[in-house]
Order: sequence, then structure tokens, then C-alpha cells
Amino acid sequence: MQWVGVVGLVFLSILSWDRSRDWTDDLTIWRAAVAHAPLKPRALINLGRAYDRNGDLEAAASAYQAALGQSFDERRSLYTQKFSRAASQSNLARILVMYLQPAAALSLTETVLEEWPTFPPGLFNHGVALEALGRCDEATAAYAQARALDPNIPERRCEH
Amino acid sequence: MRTLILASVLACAVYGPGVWSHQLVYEDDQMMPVRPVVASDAAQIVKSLATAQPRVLSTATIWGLDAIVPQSARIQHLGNLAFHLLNGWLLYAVAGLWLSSLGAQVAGSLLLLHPANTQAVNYVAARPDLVATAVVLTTIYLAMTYGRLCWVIVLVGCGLAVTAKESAIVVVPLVWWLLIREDTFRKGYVWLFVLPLMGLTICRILTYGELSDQHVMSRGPIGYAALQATLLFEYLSRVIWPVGLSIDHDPEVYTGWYVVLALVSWAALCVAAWRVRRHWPMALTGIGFYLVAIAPRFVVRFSEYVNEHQTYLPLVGIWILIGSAWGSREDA
Repeated sequence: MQWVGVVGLVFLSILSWDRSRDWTDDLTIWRAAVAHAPLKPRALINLGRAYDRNGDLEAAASAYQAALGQSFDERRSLYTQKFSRAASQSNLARILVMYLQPAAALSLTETVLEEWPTFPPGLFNHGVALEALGRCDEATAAYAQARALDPNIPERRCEH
Repeated sequence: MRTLILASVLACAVYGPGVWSHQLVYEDDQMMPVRPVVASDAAQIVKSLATAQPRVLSTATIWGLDAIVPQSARIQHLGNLAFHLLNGWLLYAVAGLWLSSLGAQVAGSLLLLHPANTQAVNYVAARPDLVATAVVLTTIYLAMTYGRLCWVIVLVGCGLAVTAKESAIVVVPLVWWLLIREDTFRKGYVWLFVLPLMGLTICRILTYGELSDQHVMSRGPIGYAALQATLLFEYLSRVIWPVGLSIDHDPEVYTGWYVVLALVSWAALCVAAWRVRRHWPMALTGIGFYLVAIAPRFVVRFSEYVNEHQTYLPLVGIWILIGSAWGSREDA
């Protein structure tokens, strides 16, 4: 019986060690999450964000698009649907700006703000798209509005 | 004590490499690219964690470790591992109040090594769960040992525990549950405890069903109750079959048969624990501990989240239950 216990502890240790490796960094943890819950927008958005931070913009855009597709799943709460759509589109817009497609980015952020006019990250990225198009006054107003709604939003000035 | 020493060594071997190599992962602040807090910036993450109000005690541990080695992921991971080891030994002491030495060691070892607790240990943002569990276990041990001062200790412990994590307020009903368990199980007075709890739960479910809170989904009371039972089952099933662990489960898309399985399993488990309460009181004690400790999650609400670190304290009840079963088998 004692040996059964020892073997059990070693078995649990191996499982815990294997699971702990998922926690190495953002990319490993969110890859594991998406592998487990491939339809969940939150996991997909966070995976996209992890790719984004690692500089893999194509993979990030692909994850955001997958999240956007899943955001229409009516089994989810209305809030989850709305937030997933706003977050994935807002994040996609930022990538489009980086790909020098500010007009397409602006169109996306306008869609976001149409559904959720007070979504702070959406307003911020709307400002980023406007700034890239040279519309500094509107961009500054969007940044200010985003910061007024959420003080965690970083301060930014239009430098176009 | 050899089993628990072995488990502690194994826990260090399991989590030690992560202390050295893991980054800080703070997922909710990085969903939006515009947010200033990102995982690569340890200083920002530490600041973000350390300003999480009103968890003064937990944030103090973050600040304290940051003062020793500033902006270090390693020191914060080491802190989590130290609290985890402490909790394993505290559970050994608490379980030893009712179980044989071996049973108590099995309970402590399960806490240390079970994969269900990997999120709590590896996720620095889960520090409040670790600290709250340490305070709750210490309070239970002292309250049970020094009977005359029991409720004074509980009050002090409760005050301290809620500064670690709000949900640790359950230390009060937990001590009550553990104090009354034997008498009430034998005499049937347990209903005095269970009925108010059931009433509160039903009220909460009905309230949520009536609210048009967009977070809670348009499920209605029955749908909401089914979701709660499913999530509880999801948590517990990870103990029995500890694979498929994830930072993000997806209970909203579970099929109907899984919900039915969850409801039937919970009903069967509670009935079974009730029927064996006289010759195996620790079964009902353990399940009661689990349900009482996880109750705040009902009050707050379960929506789409299933976070494994939330069950760190509730699972203590299950570890005691398994330790009791193992210990009594060895004694026999």
C-alpha cells in the first residue's frame, strides 16, 4: 500500500510538472488555453495579444479574426459577445495601422464604436487610426475621451 | 512524517524550475494592446498586483518580496512556492486534528502535488488564494486547539483573512462547520446549517434569474442553477481526472448531457456523504468544507470563467476526505 502511495505521488508530480511548463510565458499559457478551448474568444484574444507582443503580427491577426468569428456564438452571454467583438476588432485595427492600412483600421474602429461608443481601448485605437491618417485634432479628442473613461489608458499625443 | 517530507521535496522539484525560468503572466491586463501593463514589464505587473485593493495582506507580500529583489519574476514565483509549501504543512497540522498521521500526511501531500493546484502556484496573481489559505488554515488550527478562545481567534483570523482575499470570510462558517460536525451529524441538527445555506443559494439563483444583468446571460433561474452545478462539477472532476487543465475553460458551450451528468453527480455525491455520515463523518465534513469554501463564488457569480486557482482553499475539504479514506484503510 505504501508503494502505491509513493507511485501515486510521483505520478501526480509528473502531471503537475507537465502542466507547470504551460506557465512559462504568455505564449505557452495561451497556446495551451486555445488547444483546450478553441472556440473561446477570450483565450483567442489573449493568444493574439501574446503573438502581437512577440512581433508575430500575422499570427496575432489570425487569432483576433478567429475570436471575432466566435464572438457571434449565441450560447455566450451578451456581454461576452459584445466585448469579444469590440476587443478583437480594436486589436485588429491596431495591426492594420502597423501594416500601413489606416483607412481599413479606421473603418474597423468605427464599427466598434458604433456598437459600443464608450469602449476605451476602441476609442484609443480609433485615435491611433485617425493619427495615422493625419487627423490630429480628432485623434487627440479620441485619446482624451478614452483616458477620461479609463485612467489606465496611456497618455498619448498626436505627433503627425 | 516521511510521506510529507517526500511530497515537499517533490513539490520543490516540480515547481523549482519554473521559479527560475517562468515570466510573469498577468493575462487580463494584456487583452488590450493599449494598456500599459504588459507581461514583459515586471515592474508594471508588480505595481498592478500590489495595488489590488483591498487585499492589503496579499499586496504586502508582493511589495515585501519586490523590496528584496526589485522587478524580479523569480522572487515572486519563489514567494508563491514558499506559501504553497507552508500550506501543505499547515493542512497536515489541521487534518491531524481528526485523522491519523498518515491520513494527515496524504492530505498535505495532495495539496502540495495535485495538478489542480498548479495554477495557484505558477500564477503570481493568485497570491491572494495562497495567503488566504494560510491564514484560514492557521485560524482553524488555533480555534480547534484553544477551544476557550475559539471565537476570539476566529474573529481575529477572519479580519486577517479578508485582507488576503475577500472570499476568505468563509473561515467563520468553516470553523462552525468543523466544530458542530460530529454532534449535528449524529443528531440530525445538520439541517440547521444546511437549510439556511440552501435557502440563500436558492434566493441567489432566483435573483440572478430575474436580473437582466448582461453578464449573467439570459438563462433564467433554472439555466443559471444548471450552469453553477456544471461549473462545480467541472472543478471537482479535475481532481478526479487531472488532465485538461487550462487557464480558460469554456463551460458556456457544454452540451446538455454534461449538465445532466453534473447535476446527477452532485446529487449522488451529497446523498452518499449523508448516508455514510455516522461511520465516516469525514466524508460529509470534507464535502461540506468544499461547498462552504466555494460558496462566495456563487455570491459573486459564476459566468464564463472557471479559474482553477479559485479552488485552492475549497479543495482542502477534498484533500481531507481523501486523506481520511487513505488513513483509515492503512489503520485497518
